[in-house]
This record gives sequence, C-alpha cells and structure tokens, in this order.
Amino acid sequence: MSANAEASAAMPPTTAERWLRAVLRILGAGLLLAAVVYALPPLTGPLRSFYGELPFVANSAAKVTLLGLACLYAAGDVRRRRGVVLLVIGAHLVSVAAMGVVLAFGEASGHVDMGFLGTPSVATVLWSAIGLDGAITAAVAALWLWARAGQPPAAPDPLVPEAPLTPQERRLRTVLVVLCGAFAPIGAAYLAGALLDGTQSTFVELPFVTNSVVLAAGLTLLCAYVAHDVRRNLPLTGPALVALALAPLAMLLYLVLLDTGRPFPLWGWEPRLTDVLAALALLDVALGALLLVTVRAAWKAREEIRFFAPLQQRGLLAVAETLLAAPAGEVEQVPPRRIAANVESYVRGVRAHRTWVYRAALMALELRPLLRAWPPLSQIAPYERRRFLERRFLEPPPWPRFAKNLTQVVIRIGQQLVFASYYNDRASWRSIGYAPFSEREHEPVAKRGPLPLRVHAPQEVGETIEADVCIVGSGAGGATLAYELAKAGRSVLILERGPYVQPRDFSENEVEMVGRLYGDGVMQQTEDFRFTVLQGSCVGGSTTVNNAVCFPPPEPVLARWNDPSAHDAGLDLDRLRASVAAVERQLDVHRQDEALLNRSGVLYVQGAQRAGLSPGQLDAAVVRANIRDCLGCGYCNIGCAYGRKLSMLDRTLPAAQAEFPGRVRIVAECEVLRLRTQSGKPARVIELRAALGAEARRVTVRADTFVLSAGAIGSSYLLLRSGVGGLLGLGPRLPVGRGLCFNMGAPLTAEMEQPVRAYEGLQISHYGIPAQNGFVFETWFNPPVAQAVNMPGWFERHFENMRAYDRLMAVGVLVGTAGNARVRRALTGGPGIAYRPEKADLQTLARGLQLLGRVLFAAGAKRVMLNTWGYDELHGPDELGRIEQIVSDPDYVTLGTGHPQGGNALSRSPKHGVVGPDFRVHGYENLHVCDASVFPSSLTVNPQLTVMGLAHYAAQEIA
Amino acid sequence: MKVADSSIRVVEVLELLAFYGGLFAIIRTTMHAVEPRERRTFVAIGLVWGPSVFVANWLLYQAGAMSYLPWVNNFLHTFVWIGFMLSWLYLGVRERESLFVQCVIFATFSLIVKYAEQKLFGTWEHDNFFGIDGNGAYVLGWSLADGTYPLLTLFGLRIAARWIRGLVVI
Repeated sequence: MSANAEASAAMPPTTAERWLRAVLRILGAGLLLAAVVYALPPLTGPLRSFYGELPFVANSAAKVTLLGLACLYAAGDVRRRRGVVLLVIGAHLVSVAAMGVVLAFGEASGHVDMGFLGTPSVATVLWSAIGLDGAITAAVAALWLWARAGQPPAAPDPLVPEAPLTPQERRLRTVLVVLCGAFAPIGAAYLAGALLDGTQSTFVELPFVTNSVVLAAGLTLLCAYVAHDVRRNLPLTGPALVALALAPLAMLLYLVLLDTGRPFPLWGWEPRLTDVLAALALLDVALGALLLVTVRAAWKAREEIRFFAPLQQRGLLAVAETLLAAPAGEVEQVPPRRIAANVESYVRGVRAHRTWVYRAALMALELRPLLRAWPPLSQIAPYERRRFLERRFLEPPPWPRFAKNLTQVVIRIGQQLVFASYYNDRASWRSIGYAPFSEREHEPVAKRGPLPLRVHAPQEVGETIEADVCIVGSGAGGATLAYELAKAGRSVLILERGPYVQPRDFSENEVEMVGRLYGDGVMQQTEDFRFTVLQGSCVGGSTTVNNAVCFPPPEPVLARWNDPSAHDAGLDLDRLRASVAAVERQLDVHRQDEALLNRSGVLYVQGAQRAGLSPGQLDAAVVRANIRDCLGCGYCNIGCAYGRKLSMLDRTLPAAQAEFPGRVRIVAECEVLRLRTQSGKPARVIELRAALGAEARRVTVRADTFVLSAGAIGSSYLLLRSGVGGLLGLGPRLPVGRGLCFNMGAPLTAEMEQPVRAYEGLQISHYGIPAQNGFVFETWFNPPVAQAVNMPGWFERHFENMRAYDRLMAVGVLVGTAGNARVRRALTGGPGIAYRPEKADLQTLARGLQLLGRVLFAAGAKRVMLNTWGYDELHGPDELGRIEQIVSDPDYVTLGTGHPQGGNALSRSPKHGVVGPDFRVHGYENLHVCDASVFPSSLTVNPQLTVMGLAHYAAQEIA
Repeated sequence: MKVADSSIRVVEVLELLAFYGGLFAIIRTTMHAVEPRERRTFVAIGLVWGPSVFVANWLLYQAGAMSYLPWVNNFLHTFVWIGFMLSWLYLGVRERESLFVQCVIFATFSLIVKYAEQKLFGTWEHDNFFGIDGNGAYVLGWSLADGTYPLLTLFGLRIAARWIRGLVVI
C-alpha cells in the first residue's frame, strides 16, 4: 500500500476511536437528514404553522448541515481532525447555553402549535432540545476523551505540502479572521433578539432562533479553526461554504413559493418578511462568495492547478495516494502530489471535446463517500479510504445497471489518470525494468527528416474553399482515395479533423503523444462506458497510430458480403483483389521477417508448437505489415518517428502531392460539422460547413463531389447530423449507423520465468489464425502507460504486476462481432455508440482465450491474467475452464477495440445498406462514403488493408 | 375579452410594424441576406408557417383555446412575423446554434412579440393555457409552443425534401 496508508495501517484505529467515528457518522447522517426536516415543512405538511419564522428556519437547516458535515469530516480521520471533534462539541455546548439563556431571560411561557404533535409550551420544547443536545455533547465528549487517552499521534499528511504559505493562503487567513469577526456578533444579535423587548415578539420561535445562534457560532469556530492552520485545514471550508449556500437557497425557495408579504417587526420598524429574507440571503451569498473566491484562489495557488477545480484535484490526490499501492516494504517512485501535478499538465494538453469527463469523474470520486455518511474521499484517513474504495467500487452492490456502470467507469477513469501519470514518469521505469528506446543499445538512428507534405494550417484558409472532390478524413480510406483520384486527374481537397504532427516531432512520451494523435479517439466509449473504441485523430488517421498489420479481406467474408441473400454488396471481387494487391505493392506490405521481432512472439510460436498445435490447427507466423526495416522501438501506437511505418502520413499522402503536384490539398484541424443538401431525386450535397482550428472558425467548402472517409464512427455520425438516414431524415430511410461491428479484443497477459522485454521489438509481431472460425490471435505489448491502464489487478496486485513488466508478454484475441452495435447522436453532443456484446461473441472469445491459454502455458508461462474488473489469475491449463464463466459477463470482463467497422454498409438495396456498389449514398448524386464504415460485416482480421483496397477500388467508381 | 377589428387603429398597426422592424434589425444580424440557393427554402418555410398558423389561430379560438385575434393582428402576426421574419431568423441560426438554443431564441422572441401586441391591440388576453390558470400562463405557454418552431421546421424540411426539389436541408 502507499506509504501513507501503510503508516496509517501500522497504527490502526483504537477501539475508542472506532466508537467515536461510528457515533460521529451516525450523528452526521442524522443532522444532514434533519436539514431536510427543517427546510421542507414550511412549504407543505401539517407543521407549517410551527415553521413560521422563515429566516430562522432557513438558518436551522444551514446549522444542521454545517454540523452534520463537520461530524463527517471528523469521522473521516478522528486522529488528524481532533480539533473538528472539539468544534462539534463546542457548537452543541453553545446550543445548550443559548437555550438556557433564553429559558432564563427570554419569553418562554407561550405555546407552539406543532400540528399533530400538539401544542407544548416553548419551555418544554427548549428543555427537550437541551436534553438532546446535552446528551449528544456528553456522548461525543466522553468518547473524545476516551479516544484521546492513549491515542497515537497523527502521521503527517504527505498530501499537504510543507512550504511557506502562498500570498493567496495568507489572504484567505485574513478573510477567515474577518468572517469570524462578522459571524460572532451576528450570533450575539440573534440571541439578543430573543431577549430584548423590541424584538421578542418576532424572535418568538425560540428553538429556531437558538439554531441561528449556533449557526453563527459554528461558522465562527470553523473559520477560526481553519485560520489557525490554513494549509492543513483548507478542506474544512467545505462545510462552511455549503451552509452559506444552503441558507440563501432555502430563503429563495420560501420567497418564490410562499406568501412572505407579512411584516417582520424589529424595534418598531416593520419591514416586510420578503425584504428581510432577501437581505439575509444576499448577505449570506456575499459572505459565501467572498469565502469561495479566496478558498479557490488559495487552493489553485498551492497546487498550481488550472484545469481541475479544487474539489476535483483533491479527489485526484486521494485516488493517486490510494490506488497506487506498493507492497509492504516497498515504496512508490513517484509521490502522489507529483502524480496529480502530472495529470493536471497532461490533461491540459489533451485536444479533446470530452475532457469534462475527467472533471466529472474526479468530482464523483471525491463526493461519492458522502452518500454513505463519510466525508469526501480526500478527507478519509488513508487506510480507511483504501477500504472504502475496495468495498464500494470493486464489488458494487446490485444497483440499477446504469448506476453500477457509472460507478465503475468513474473509478476506472481515476485509475487510468493515476497510472498514466505514474508510469509516464521516468522515475518509475527502473523499478519496472523498462528502458525507453533512446536508452537501449542499438545502432545510432536518426528520426525521420521533415516530411515532404504540404498541409495547410487553419490560419492559411479563407472562409470559403472550392474544390473538385472534397474528402473528409485523411486515414486509410481517404488518403488512398485521394491518391487514386489525383492519379485519375481529379483535384482533391482533404479535410482532416486532427492536427498535422510530423514524425520528427513524435516522442517517447506516451501521454503527450496520445493527447496529440488520438484526441477524442482515446476517450471514445460506448454509452454504457464498458467498451473502448480507440481511433486516431491526426493527419494519416489511425494508420499513423496503428500497428500496420495487413491482412487481405478473408474470402468467406467477401463471399458473404456479395451474397444476394445476405448483404448483396455488388462488388466485383476480382477487381477488389487486384486493388488490394496494388495497395500492397504501393506500401511494400510484406512479412516482417527482417524486423527486430518481439521475443514474446517467438515464445508464442514455440508455445503453439509445444501445445501440439499443427499449422493446420493454428496458423501462427510473423505478420505482414507496411513497415520497412523496423527498429523495434515498440512505439507503433504513438507514432513511428523513424519513418519505418509506411503509413498514409509517411507514404501515401506525400506521394500523392509529389507525383501529382497541385492536385492534392490537405487542411488539418478542420472538423466537418454538417453537409448542406439540396433536395431532389437524387439529392445533391452543395457544400459542407466545418469548424477550423482551436477557435472553431466557420468555413464553407464547396465541391462537385463529396466523400466521407471519417472512419466507422465519424462518417455515420456526420450523416446522421446532416439529416441522412432515420425515420425523419432526408431522402430514403437509410440504415445509417446501424450494423456497426468491431474486432472485439481481449488480451491474456502472461508472466514468464525469465525476462522477456516484450516492449522491445515489433509491437505486433506474430499472429495466429486457428482452424476454428471466429477469432484470431495477435501478440502485442505496450510501453508502460498503455500496459498499465490495461494491466489486470488493483492496488498492490497492480503494482506487483507492473513490477513484473519485463517478464510479461501479452497476446490478444480478436473476435469479429455481430453487427448489433449502432452509432447515434448522443444527448451530450457527439456520437453515441450503443453496444452490448452478444452471447455468441462472448462464447467465441472464451474459446479463443482458452486456446490461447494452452499456448501460453506451453510456452512456459507461470501464470496468465485476464483483463477483468476484479482480478483473475490462472496458474495452469487445468484452470482454463474458468474462462468461460468469467467472460460470460460483459460487465466483468474488460473489452475494447481499435477496429470499428460498419454503420454505412455496402448494399445494392437502400433497405439494407447506405451506399451502393459505387460507394455513392443511396438517393444522392454526389455523396460517397469510403472507409471502414462501408463494411457490411466485421472482418475479424485487421481492417486497414481492406479499407485501402476498397478505396483503390472505389476511386475507379468515383473518378 | 374580444377585441373588435374596428377598434384597431392605423397608428397602432404602424407602431407594430415599426416594432417588427426593430426586431428585424436584430434578426438580420444572424443573416444579412438570404442566399440565392436558400430562397426557395425561405419561401417554402414562410408559405407553410404563415397560412397554417393564420388558420390555426382562428380554429383554436373557435375551440376556446385561444383569444380572438382580429384579422389585422392575425395577418401581421402570422404572415409578417412568423412567415417572413421567423423564417429569416431560422435560416440565420439553424447552423450556428444548437437546437436547444434555437428553441430558446424562438420562445423568447415570441414572448416579446406577444407582449408588444398585447400592449398595442389588447390581444393575447386569455385566462388559461389548456387548463393552467392565468394570462401569464397563456402568453408563456404559447411562447414556449412557438419555441418548437426550429424543431418542427428542421424535420419538416427534411420530410418535405423527399418530394419538393431545390430545398436546402441540413
């Protein structure tokens, strides 16, 4: 566990502390519930007449909230927050004293109408309240004294920096002192109001009046406590801010919903209750705003945060400190504060629309414990925090599925942020046995020189662009099509949403490169957050970040595509095969025998042989790829800086511009928003609108022909957004977005006896195609960050697994799924992907994992691990039978893909497909689609060669 | 309270038109002129909304759901305001703002215009909006209903485009 948690666990809570904690939690939950009991009755119910003096009622709701939260904060860490326990005791003493004073010197002889509870005297109510508060005070004080005897000292909190106060913290301290000076006399004024002749008739509901006194006293004490040690007690401003927000909120509610026109006499002056409520609400808002602004400034200055809000950043610190847990006796190499700082700087640099998800997830993590009567996550003692996470998140109760999904995805996001930050930090690499390529022994090698590619930056582009052919997307489909169309004499404009990043600018910094090359594609998940759909977003598309593995389209798949009773794609298969062959020649696709092969791939092949699998049973061999003279850096997925991967970025696009000068223009950072269509039979796209650059400047593109090559998700989404497809869409009712499918992937990670160093060598070096249909194998290993976010295990287990990094190898099983997924427009904006794996696909996956497990054990694996939410480790072939049951629950096994396909299927019939054999959208004159979205079904094998082959083929139709 | 046609004065009509003119100056900031390609679309939208709402207003009055609009008021409101100006506004905002924001814009403009017509002609006086009491509810309710204009027009154009040529659809 973390050093902090270890220190905390070394001194577990004493019996007295556990009792104190339990009582504080119960008291806190009760007080927070009481806030509802105070706030709502004036609005409805039989006790409305009792809750008549609305300012005091609102204050009462705020008071119990303040004290309730204070109890929870104290319960979170009774050792470090001893002072808060005293504050709770002190506030209850003030309550008892105030009621005593009022009983002695105030007018307590009247009766109160409590509806069905009768009409007791004011004195009876006050004595009852004194009894209750007195009992609470006595109980908490007794437990505090008991806990204090023999209480070990609190360990220092490593999440709190030891440095001089910043100017913002000093300013906060001043503000807190001023607020003490403001709240104290306010409390005294409330008490005086109940005693003085001129106001007694107004301050008549004495229990609520004394609650107002306690609220003011509580705020005074809390501000004083925080000011005493601003650095350590800063989070305790939370309860004060909530109280200062709740009171005016309640008053506003009363103002809007109740009749507040009656007088509120004060010393002969008779303002209306409306004005009093408004004035008090404004005062609370002003004080609360002052406190909020100074607290935020203090926190941001202390932690140097710009992206995350203080609450989110505290959640991040808490998660970083807890999730990253070294086994006993070991130490994490990167402290939690540095992890949090790294995350802050990484996320700031991510170019994605959905970074709000990180904020939301961290906020949810921080506040989730409140639902279980705990303080925010960062305020729970480290050892308890760890137990809380283990209980609540690893084994969520059988909630509604959506809530369970949300809980797990929130913790998953927190985990990924922390692991990405930790394992991207060089300080962690030695401990896991990783050496970056720049530090390995190899011949000196230079990065690729400046790319001979002219890409227009946003500032070079005017408001309107005219073109002959406009292609949306510069990936496998778009780039190949552009080349072929230029060859045919057309003039082509390519619009690419992502940035243009030259290979010489690729670095070994995984997180930085993922942010630059994937954009939103790294955060793309299905609507239930269960399934990740990874896609590149940069010039060159996914070919810039894929592993360059090339498989021709399987013949059975092509046959099914063309089958008139199935998809009826209407393709000329001989021509298609010729196109695929042409692309293979252009990109020098060949078996990577000369490459620096991954040692794990070699072990895999040996394992297959030792497992008795003949080539007829399992075709296991080195992959074919569009790579020349691979250096084995292992950075395929973050871009090849050495020009060895012959991607669209490196090969096809430069060749198109070089061989056909002036015919291929590329504009980067240009996101197409929608198509504008002129109706008719057929309809005609007249122009498209796009957003250019970071400022999203609007541009219009006019062309004779438009081709969408934005990928399986992007092309469907653009069509839907432009009114194509669907019941109320333009033109024929096309099945846009339907039939989406994937090569669903799940790896088995194996630990070997000896170091494998699988991060060296061609990243995907070997494949396996078994005789039984439905799945393929690919050996695959990642640099530390990608491996860490995919590594099975939690806490110490995860840490230990990563420590075995250089002895690990992984092989993935890819299953071509059924076309039951769908692209649609998400309510939050952007594409939504609806998908749940079918049972048959999961069974195929299970079969594949079991066969793979045999191979890995035969290769000498000590253990193999599945990617699951919990943790599942197998130690021998006899345990492989468990896989079927483990994989049967798609909520438990972690699945993802880098190969989305379908959504705009090829078919002669508009009922079954979106595009015809000429790749033209049915019902349109000049709109085409040419990318993986036109696949009528999944390939199972890597799709890039098929996409390029289809693009080569389609060019002859479109030209 | 039914406002008689004969009680509407010319000067009030001119005041309303001037008010419309002021609103149109604001609407024109979204789109200076209708593109030649979109003229057919503009006319189609106006020709569908104008007459249909003109008739609907009268039918709803007959059904007791709306106050009586004198034909001058009804004509100006449906043909000038809705048929011409709102069609212009729609084409100006349909690609610049999200559908939700468009609906808010339309509801807000509708509320302003109804308030102006009420002040000038005394129309838009009714004591309930489909059972929700109060003139405020009536005016607000119909304004919110008018806020659905962008949604209905978006899908209406898409459907109409299946049969009518030359419409520019998004």
